[in-house]
Amino acid sequence: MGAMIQAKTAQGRSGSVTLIAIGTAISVISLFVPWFSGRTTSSEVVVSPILERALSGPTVVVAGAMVGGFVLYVIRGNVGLLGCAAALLFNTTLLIWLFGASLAAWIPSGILPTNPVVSLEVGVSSALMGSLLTLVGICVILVEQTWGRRSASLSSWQFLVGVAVACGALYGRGIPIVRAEASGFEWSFAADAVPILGDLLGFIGLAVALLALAAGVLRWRLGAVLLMIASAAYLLLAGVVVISGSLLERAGRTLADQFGVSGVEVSSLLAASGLAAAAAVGGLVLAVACMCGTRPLSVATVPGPGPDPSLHDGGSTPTFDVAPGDPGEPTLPF
Amino acid sequence: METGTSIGLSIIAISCLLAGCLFGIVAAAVRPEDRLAKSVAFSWGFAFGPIGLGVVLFLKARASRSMTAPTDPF
Repeated sequence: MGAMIQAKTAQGRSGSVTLIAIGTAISVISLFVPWFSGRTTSSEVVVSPILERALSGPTVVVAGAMVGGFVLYVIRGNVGLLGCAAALLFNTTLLIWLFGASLAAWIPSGILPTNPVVSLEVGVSSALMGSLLTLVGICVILVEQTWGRRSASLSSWQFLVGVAVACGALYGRGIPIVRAEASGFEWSFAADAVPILGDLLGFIGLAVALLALAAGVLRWRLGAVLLMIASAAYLLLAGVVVISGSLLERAGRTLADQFGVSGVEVSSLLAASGLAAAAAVGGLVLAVACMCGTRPLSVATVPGPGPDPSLHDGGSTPTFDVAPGDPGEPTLPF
Repeated sequence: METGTSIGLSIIAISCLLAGCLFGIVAAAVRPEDRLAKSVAFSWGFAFGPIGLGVVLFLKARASRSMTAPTDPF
């Protein structure tokens, strides 16, 4: 029985390695991709963190910590450094991603041209997605090592749907929802440029992405309930975006006036709302599947009385042989 | 100017990593020794900072509660 549990846990760990490797690769690659751009009527500046002189230092520090942390994890099995670097990248990109409309205030002066209209590029969403995948993989490993809970297989359709929903929710925010066209001029902006509605869409989209990954990997039942609520709210908000097309067009005209351009044709686009609706429906399906499915919980972590030598072997997964029901049984908090 | 900004932001990033390491050390110090491996506790604190430290403290509280729980003499 113990050997079977160890084999299952080792299988889960190899899946976590894949998840962490993919997340680390996306995170590091995203540092070379444009994060945001500043446009004026005469010029356009695209900023990639590692190529921008003012941002290259911290970017190299984070990238080095992530690569070093991944090597340390592969060699020693210690996920601390990688998790800290991923958390640092996640928090940074989260601030930029959520408050993208006021992004100009976050960027060091001198990078962007004077009085620009700033918009997020795909690099921010990629960094957010990569760091999120890395953190989820690390969380899975630590949960396995702490409670011995076996995570879902990464090839299961729940995991793939969870990743797809997270991608849709995160990348969908960068898709333009309103396009402004004039003679010799075309500009489109995404939801992050719309006050209140864009922020709300960002918060709920982030919740959907987090809960979808948690439900897809950990099959967390309470998370599935929360995912259902968040997905329903996200679907509702996608409908609001479609219905309030005229409002968004008006917002586009207001922004176009900042350029001093007259005779602007403003039209609302449905691609972003469609992607948000698809992600919301995927989240609902995943939530229902997780709530109806059996809970793949390996109740193998029941430590006996006294210290267990297997707990101090430097990162290996502890195994326990005491029957459930022992007063010292560590129960999962979720 | 740009070099100064880069150095300043680099120092902030390194400080964040060191702060995470400090959380890991604290988590490893306060872990319930018979429930959690030292490296796992350190990883909780290092990777997730105050959240990881909270997880370790939660485990310690559960462990100490189970140790002090009155046992049924019958």
